[in-house]
Amino acid sequence: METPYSTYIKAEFIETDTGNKVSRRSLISGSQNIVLGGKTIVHPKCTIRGDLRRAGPTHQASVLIGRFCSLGPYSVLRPPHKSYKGVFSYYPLKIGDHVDIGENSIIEAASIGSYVVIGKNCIIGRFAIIKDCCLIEDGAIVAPNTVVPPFSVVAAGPPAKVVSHLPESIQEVFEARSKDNYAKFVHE
Amino acid sequence: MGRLQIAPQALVCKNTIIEGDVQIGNGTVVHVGASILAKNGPIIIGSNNIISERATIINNHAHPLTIGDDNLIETDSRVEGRGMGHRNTVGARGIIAGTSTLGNNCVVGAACTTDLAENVPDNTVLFGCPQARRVRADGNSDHLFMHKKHLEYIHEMLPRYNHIIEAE
Repeated sequence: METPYSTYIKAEFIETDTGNKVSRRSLISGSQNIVLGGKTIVHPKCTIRGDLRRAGPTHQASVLIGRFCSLGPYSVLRPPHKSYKGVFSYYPLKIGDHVDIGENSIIEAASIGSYVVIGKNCIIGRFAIIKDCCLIEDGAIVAPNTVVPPFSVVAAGPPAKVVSHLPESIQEVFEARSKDNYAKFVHE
Repeated sequence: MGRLQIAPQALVCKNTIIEGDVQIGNGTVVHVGASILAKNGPIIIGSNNIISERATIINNHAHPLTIGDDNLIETDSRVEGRGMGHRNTVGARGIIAGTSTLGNNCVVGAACTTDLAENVPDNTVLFGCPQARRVRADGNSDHLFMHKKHLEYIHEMLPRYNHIIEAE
């Protein structure tokens, strides 16, 4: 099952020295607060809100993304906010390695583990925590504050429910998939 | 003929698409990527609203679309119809379709839609799949308190990282 090469126009992407490929047509606010792990692809029209960050001493990253991640076109990554003991603040959004975020998905989670695949058109509610090795199916709407346990498949919604489980070997499958994805994303 | 009136305390980011006759009230925040399209009729937005990224407010009818005060319109949602009252929350990808209106204190859950010509009464919550409605159980005070703090926070943070359209 060979995935095809997908090409992009070199001028349309910025390639950093750690191998990140960021589309020039993505909407990134507050780029100084965004950390990309390395070899991560940010597709066109992806919105990353790095400007919504915790108030306080400067240089606090608000969006932290791991390696070999892929942020699909038209997706929105937005740090979650809440009021804790009367104080309102935005909290950082942490995403692990090898995470594939599908097209048009809205991510407002508090943290997403590693080896996670999120389908298209999903909505991950505020402060949700998605653990490692999960699969969020297309169109799933995960309620706020949900904790998705490792190795689960979450579908449907609202609110989305765990429908089945993944085998332990899925970690290697997702890892190979994200590396393959990156290797096949070449400029023409 | 586009006429955009922004009240002095409103915060409208530059990367938004605003077309037509639009009035934005005091204290309202319009995030990057939002679209406010007054195609056939004017749009009047009240004070202290938060319109998140990729939200679309579109008026395809001749009569004005009014949005009250203290509303929270979340990411990627769509407001058509005749508008809404005060203190509502439209969740991510929520849709107010057709010629519907939303009363006060309502909550439209994530990815929920109103019917095409529905006047949603006050204090209703739209949720679930399949679509269901219920009356709001709590008062709105917690949410309002947080909304105020949210606004203060955004007013401080947003100008530091985004270009803002200057109000006259």
